[in-house]
Amino acid sequence: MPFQRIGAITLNTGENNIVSALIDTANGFAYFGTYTVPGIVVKIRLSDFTRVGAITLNTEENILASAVIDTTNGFAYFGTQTLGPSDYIIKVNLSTFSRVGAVLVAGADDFVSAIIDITNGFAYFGNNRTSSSGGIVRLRLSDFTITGNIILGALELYPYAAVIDTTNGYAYFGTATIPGIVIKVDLSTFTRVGVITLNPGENSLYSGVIDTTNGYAYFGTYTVPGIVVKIRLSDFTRVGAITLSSEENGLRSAVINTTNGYAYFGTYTNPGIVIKIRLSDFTRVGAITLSSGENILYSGVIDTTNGYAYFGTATVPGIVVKVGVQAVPSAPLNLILQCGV
Amino acid sequence: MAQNSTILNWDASLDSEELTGYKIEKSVDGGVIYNQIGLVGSGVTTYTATEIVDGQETWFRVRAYNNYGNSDYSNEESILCMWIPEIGLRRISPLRRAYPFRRTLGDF
Repeated sequence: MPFQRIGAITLNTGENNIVSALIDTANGFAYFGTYTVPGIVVKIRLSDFTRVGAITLNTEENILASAVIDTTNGFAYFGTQTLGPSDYIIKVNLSTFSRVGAVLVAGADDFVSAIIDITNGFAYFGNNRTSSSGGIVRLRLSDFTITGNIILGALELYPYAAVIDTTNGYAYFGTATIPGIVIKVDLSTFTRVGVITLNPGENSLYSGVIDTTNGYAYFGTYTVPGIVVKIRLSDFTRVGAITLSSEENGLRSAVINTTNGYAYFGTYTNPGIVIKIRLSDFTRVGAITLSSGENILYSGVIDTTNGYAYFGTATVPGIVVKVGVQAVPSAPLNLILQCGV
Repeated sequence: MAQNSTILNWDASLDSEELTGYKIEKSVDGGVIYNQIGLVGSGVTTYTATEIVDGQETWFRVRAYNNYGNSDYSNEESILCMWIPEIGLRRISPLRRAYPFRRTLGDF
């Protein structure tokens, strides 16, 4: 299926504002976390694009703004945003689709991003630790225990955009600051080892993807219009940026297909727009404006095997929009014939 | 056998930024077996098919392609053109399109 909107599921009443998304392509399900009190995890079967269930979490387990999936062991982990100065990480068993437990992390104010290293058995959650700097906590998956904490540098706040290079052992956190900052973390020592402050105007990094094969990360800005900034990982250098078209504002979600060489960014607009970026020459090559009401693309996941992406909307109730992302073109339409002369 | 031509027009693929072009296919057995008869570039949405046998219904379809493969096909359409002396080339079929008034005769 070429780059086009395929369809949408409107979730049930109360399943509002989809702010995190996970995918398990091997078993054919996607999971979406809500911005609700308490949080709700909604399960979608991909084969027939159907909502098949939901878990309402416990009191105080609110606003599931970050999530990672351990497809090897069959668990998902959601980070919360509660009102207090501490927040929860919640573990969900995917095979039984049930809540397993929660860890309360003192001092972690709002988990806004998450990444996972399944091979080494850790997940990492970005948070707003204090009013002056953000933080990253490390969760050991085997015993569901917090085993480390990094306090970021001064004014390195709101690490909303996180990507991981498990091959080389680094993570990269983009901050929602003016301008945006990208922080490099050595996962083997769990230390902050580098920082890039982006150019003026490249503000508020709320989305990011990584192409470890070719050695680049891409961060989307929450600006008008949106900007995609390219970071070379080998020497940790900003190497370029694309300013998107008018109306393509607020890049709030992103997915990547490294096999075919494209990234897709979802916007904070009404309705949402999905913008296609060709990575080989770092060029915007197209965009889809979604249907009316499919607003604010806060989260996204991609099934590269079958050629679909799924974007969650920050609407009441939430909507999951399915987009075809294979690299073959769409069919020509309206073939008309006439006799020649 | 006398021959004429058929002009095809279509709407561009939505992914026109990344197209290599379009492939044009023809069938003379009712749309069972198609053969590719032409290629045009990405900015072209018309094609003139020549060597069309006068009086023979011919089917056409088009698809886009790029480095990754082919798109789905367009709608399939057929046409039967015939050279009528003193009138010229006329479209004879499909009847439904060419002569909609025949619905009243109970043919459909």
